[in-house]
Amino acid sequence: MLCQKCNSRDAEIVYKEFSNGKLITMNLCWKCAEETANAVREIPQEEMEPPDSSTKCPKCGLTLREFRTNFQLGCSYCYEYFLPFFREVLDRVIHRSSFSGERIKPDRFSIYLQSEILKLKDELQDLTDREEFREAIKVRDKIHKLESILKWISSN
Amino acid sequence: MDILKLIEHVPDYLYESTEDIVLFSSVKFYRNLEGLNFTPKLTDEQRKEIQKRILEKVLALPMWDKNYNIIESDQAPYELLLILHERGIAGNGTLEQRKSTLLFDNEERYVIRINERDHLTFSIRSSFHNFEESAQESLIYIGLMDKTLGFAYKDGLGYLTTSPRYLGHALNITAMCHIPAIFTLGQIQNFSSILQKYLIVLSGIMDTSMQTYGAFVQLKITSFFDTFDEVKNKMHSAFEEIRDLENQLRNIIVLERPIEVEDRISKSYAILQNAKLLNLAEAFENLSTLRLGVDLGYVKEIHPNFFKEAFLRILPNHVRVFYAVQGDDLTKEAEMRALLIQELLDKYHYAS
Repeated sequence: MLCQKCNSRDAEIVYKEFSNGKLITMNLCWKCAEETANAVREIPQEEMEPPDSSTKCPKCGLTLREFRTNFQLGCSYCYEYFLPFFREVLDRVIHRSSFSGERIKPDRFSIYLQSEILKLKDELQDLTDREEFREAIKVRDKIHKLESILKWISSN
Repeated sequence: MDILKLIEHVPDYLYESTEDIVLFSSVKFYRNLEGLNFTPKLTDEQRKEIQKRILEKVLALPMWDKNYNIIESDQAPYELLLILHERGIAGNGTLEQRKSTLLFDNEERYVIRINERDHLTFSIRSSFHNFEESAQESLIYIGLMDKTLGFAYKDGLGYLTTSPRYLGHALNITAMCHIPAIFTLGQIQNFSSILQKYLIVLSGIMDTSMQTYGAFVQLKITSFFDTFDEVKNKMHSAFEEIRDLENQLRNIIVLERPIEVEDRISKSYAILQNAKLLNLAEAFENLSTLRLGVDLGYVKEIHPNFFKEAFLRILPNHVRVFYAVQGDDLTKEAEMRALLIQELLDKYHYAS
């Protein structure tokens, strides 16, 4: 679906706004959602940007102007450098501005894999008893795959 | 790579589907290597170094059998990239800049894009009844990749991506759905409220920003600071509500409007069987209605695999490349699409 405002980028945000007692809902791209949210709060542009929008990330050289145009960052350090300029938008548009989860660690899946392999072995036995060999081959391949992942995790 | 064979191939994730409503699903992660500039700020040399590093580590993972494909977009024929784009393997960035590398297995289940918008985009596609299993599998692989490659990560923000919209576990989950009863009965308001409740966005067929056609819609949930489990649970809840709504409305159609719906299905079937020209919108509209007819039992002679094969093969570049349609001859493309659908109807007709 295209953004209902610019009609050129993909809509990625469902934007809701109360205006004159009515709820207005629009599907917007990230950039238009940001602009609309700014307009609603009537924040003068100069409050959102530093006086010089050619300000550069000291590490990769991305300018604030480039970031505002493409909504793309140039390096990890840009997150520290430009965060103040989009944290508020994240707050308003998605009602969340921080992450409380953790890094995904493969080790935590070892137990899951072991229990899956046991389940599949039971299933394989049932299928073999019922002489459903085509299905049994699929299950056998699945077991081999999970066993190889498990082996890989423990050897790495 | 043999383009014609690729076009004719229907991947397992489409064939395996036993669902009427969710055709297939995909989990996609976005990642960057720690300490390096993101893709927009890379030199060609850095890009090559990243590509080498990722390929070396990823190919060592136990996910690949002997058959996988590596496509360097700057060396691949453009028509191959167009086909891969329509199949959801190449993204818009690959087509526009041709600086990325694509790695995928023959069943197109595991797809890795290197240096497209982020250093690495990893997706797993599966039929929806295998979604839970492939979701767990995707977590294992992305965790293993993190362990060997080291991804950019910051507490409080999550995995750092080129676009700040993917923070958190930096992923999206998509599902290709077919919801003809919701469209037929004009229940868009109820459908939209489910989408809004879970912050779901509709996108085109195969995630390539194409317009939606017929009642085939792709639903997408992005992490927005969420964890994987939060995104997955949202998608599950949303699917339950959409499935309930669609099934309720299918019952209403059968009970209250049997003649109207049978009439529409018969007309669509007749158009697909006899049309000389079918543009993409017309083809998807009629396929959608015919599929409803098969799902509801009004049409009994068509095998459901007809829709799975037609779904990919009628896409514009699939038709143009397969039938060598020259230039922008839309009439020829429509003619070949009509012919292809009729051939597929014959192929999947139970009597034949």
